[in-house]
Amino acid sequence: MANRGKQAAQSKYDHLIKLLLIGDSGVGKSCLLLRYSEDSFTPSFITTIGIDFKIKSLPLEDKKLKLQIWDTAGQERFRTITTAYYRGAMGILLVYDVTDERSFANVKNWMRQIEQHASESVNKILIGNKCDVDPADRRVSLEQGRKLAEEYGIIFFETSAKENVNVDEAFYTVARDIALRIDNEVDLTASGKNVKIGPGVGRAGGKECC
Amino acid sequence: MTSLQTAAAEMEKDVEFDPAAVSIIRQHWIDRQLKKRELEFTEYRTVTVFCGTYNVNAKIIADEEVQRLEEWLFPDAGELADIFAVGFQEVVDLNAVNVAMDGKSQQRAQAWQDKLDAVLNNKRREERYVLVAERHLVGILLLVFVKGVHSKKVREVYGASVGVGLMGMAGNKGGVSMRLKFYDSYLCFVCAHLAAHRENVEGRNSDFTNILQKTIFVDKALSGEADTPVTGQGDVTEETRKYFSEVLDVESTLQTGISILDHDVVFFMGDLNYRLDESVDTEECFAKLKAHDLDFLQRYDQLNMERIQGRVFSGFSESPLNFLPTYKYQPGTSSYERRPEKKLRCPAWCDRILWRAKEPEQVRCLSYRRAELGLSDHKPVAAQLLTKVRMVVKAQRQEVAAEIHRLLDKVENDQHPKVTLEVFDNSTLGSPRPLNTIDFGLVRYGVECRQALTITNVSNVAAHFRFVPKLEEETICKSWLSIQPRFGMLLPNEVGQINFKILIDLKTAKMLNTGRDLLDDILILRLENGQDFFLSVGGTYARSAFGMDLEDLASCHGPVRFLPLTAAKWSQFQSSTSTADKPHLPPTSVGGPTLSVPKELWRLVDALYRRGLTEKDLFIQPGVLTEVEGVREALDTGEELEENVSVHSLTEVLLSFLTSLASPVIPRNLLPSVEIDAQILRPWTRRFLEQLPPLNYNIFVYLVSFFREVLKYHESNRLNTEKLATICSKTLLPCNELHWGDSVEVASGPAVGKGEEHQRLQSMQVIFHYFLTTSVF
Repeated sequence: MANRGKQAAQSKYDHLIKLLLIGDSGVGKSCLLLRYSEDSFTPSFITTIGIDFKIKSLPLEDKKLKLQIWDTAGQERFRTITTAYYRGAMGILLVYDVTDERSFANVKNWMRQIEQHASESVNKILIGNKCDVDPADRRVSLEQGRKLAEEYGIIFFETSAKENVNVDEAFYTVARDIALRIDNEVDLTASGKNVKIGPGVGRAGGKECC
Repeated sequence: MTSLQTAAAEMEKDVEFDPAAVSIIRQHWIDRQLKKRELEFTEYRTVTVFCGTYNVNAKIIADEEVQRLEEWLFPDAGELADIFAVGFQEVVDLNAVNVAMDGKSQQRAQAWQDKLDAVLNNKRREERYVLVAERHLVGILLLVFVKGVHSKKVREVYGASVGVGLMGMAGNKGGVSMRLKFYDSYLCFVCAHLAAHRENVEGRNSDFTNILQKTIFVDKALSGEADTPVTGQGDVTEETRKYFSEVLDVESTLQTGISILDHDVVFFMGDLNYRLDESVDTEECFAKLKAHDLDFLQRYDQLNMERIQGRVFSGFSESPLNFLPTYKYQPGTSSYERRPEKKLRCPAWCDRILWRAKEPEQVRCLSYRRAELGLSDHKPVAAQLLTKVRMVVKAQRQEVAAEIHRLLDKVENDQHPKVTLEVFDNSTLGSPRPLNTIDFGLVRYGVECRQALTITNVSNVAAHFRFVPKLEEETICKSWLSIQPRFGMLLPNEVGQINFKILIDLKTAKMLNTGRDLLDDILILRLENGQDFFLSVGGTYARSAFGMDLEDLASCHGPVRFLPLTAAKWSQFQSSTSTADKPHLPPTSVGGPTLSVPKELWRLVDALYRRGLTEKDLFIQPGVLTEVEGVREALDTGEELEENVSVHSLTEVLLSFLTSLASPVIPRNLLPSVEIDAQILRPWTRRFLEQLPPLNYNIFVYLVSFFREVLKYHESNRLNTEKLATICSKTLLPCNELHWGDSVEVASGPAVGKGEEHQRLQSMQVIFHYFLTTSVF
């Protein structure tokens, strides 16, 4: 009994928002999380061999959000296992690598996974990471990413965990949208509030309607 | 509920963890950290504040003369003030009607406001000023204007009025105040009219004290915007809200009082009514004025004297009085009132402007003077004060806030358990590899393989670990793997070991042999409140004849080991061999129809036939473990059996081969359902042979023939029919859970009890005895 009360209070007082990072192995999911949560970067590749989370508090003007960000192993052989973690996610950040066409082509597979395993209302965001690279090494253009996001009707950012470009913005945008969605779900009388898109380069015009 | 339970429930309620409380305390801590680091995100901007005070003696300036106010308001040619705080006293007569009724005051306040507005926004100047607020109390009026460019930086404007006149509360004397947030500094302006009469110093002192004490800013009506609470409301209990009221609610803070001295800078102006000390004779005063000895007179200024004594305006500053006393003049002139019909008054600095800054160096007085307007019996006074105001640089503040939050997040993240895993690799002799793959290498049937993993708690909290099943699975791993322990707890720095064992037995061999299962699994090692590790466990299964179906074995030409391993390839393989051309297998050594038996069986029997018939304690004595493994390996790879291997090892492999078969040589449905007596023995066994599937028939006949051969040498190998019948029972009949499990499912009719099974096995013993001792087939 005490426990239940505890949780209710927790969830109402500080919004706890569960986010999930998915995408092919090596696209930089863990680096994005490291940059966002600890503002640091490591160039060495340590493959994630499971699923881990970090807590990040995000004080907004009118409410305090506590993000619990789950970082998943991207390796193909773990794919079926990781789908088990989709269910609790309120937001999913789908990451590809702008220097890796394959990771971009796989976005549609990941979207399918989301459709099958995540809750219907989950907020999605597409992230093209490593946008700091030499243009010669780029394989996926900003326009391609933006267009794909538009097709899915989701927000899009190009980011660089290395150079700290748009990382805060990407997480902030999805977290804030979730907070708004939850508020709207609680307050059913509130008719579809228009959501302002935060600052950030290369965001898609398309906006998920809920 | 017993009273004890009630008490316990009460107690639980009392000690219940309150996340809201934690959140509020945490926020409070964050706010304090931000305050401490204020300088990192604060810039200062110097603004000029004009303060003016004018007792107008109930007069109002004519519109055509309004420009004369400029002399007072714009004394210097220099930059125009950013803020104009203009105070008036006696905008109306302080008669009983005006004290009681607001009408006239209101009217006059509006008139003065319009006139000031006209002067400040004179078209000759580019600057525009906007009124922040107006506040009046009977004769006291305070107007605050700011330059248009600053209008958006003015927030949280509240006003307050305090009457300290008749009965200690009427508005004939008192103070009106206005506070506002200008950029990020809090400024307070007070316009006061204190008690009159030269001798009434104490009255003025106490009026001042009363104004300070009674002025509390609560009125939000003046402010355009509603204040947002500092913290979210959420699910905070009434008790918690009460407990934290002072930090939780700006409103309650307002109620308990923001008072004048709570501001960064207080500007206090007005007709404070302090005169010259009574020790100075009026005529002497006039003489000193004539000699322009203001220094002398200042020393006898009551306010200066009281301040030196610390009795009033403590903490306030004032510039030297380098201008003539402002009271009392003959209205319309620049002469002190000395007309004989009027009461003779000693001139005095009634009209004053003081300030008080929390950080004194942030205010500097540029000028302090009077203007020579002739409207009233007072002269207006003005001060220009350079004031530093805080400006919070939002981006920098956010950066500091982010740093503080990162620190907190780190502390919180460090509360989660962390472990490192190291796999001991047997091949490199115990050198640990920080990998999540446990590779068993080549795994053989019946040979136990072990691997270990060390788990080290590298966090500061206890780590609870356990293996959990994957989504929609019930077991934590495949059946060929066992894990010990499956869960545990480690204190900080404690190291534990998890042991993994693979043993391929007859239960698991079939799936692996046919490629329907692979030696490959992923385990989820969960740290409660922390990471989930995915551990890949696997090896290469050395395919073996052990644990296979007779049909599958009979269709293999070559060594089992080298057959394709995937399930798909396996079924291809089967379909290509199950056609007419059955594999050519070695001929049986007994008579009868030439039928195939699995080559592994043939090789074992052949070797025993050649070397073992006379061996003492044949089939009774166990073999040597390493030899047994070697023989199995040779059977699976097609290598020659070693000649010096013990016969007992061969027999052990033969028996275990038979018991490992995925289905028994004698299917369960052929077991006798009735008691076998001498009468029905013969016809039953004939039918039994007819019903055996061809391959099983071959094997049965082959083995019984071999056993009959063995019995011929019973004198040396010391076997007898009884012993061999028992061996047959133990190896040819359903002899393991797998066999029974399969057949119990398909058993028709009433469930078969254990006693009944025993009965059937007994009957089979009789039947085997019969076959071994007769010469059927």
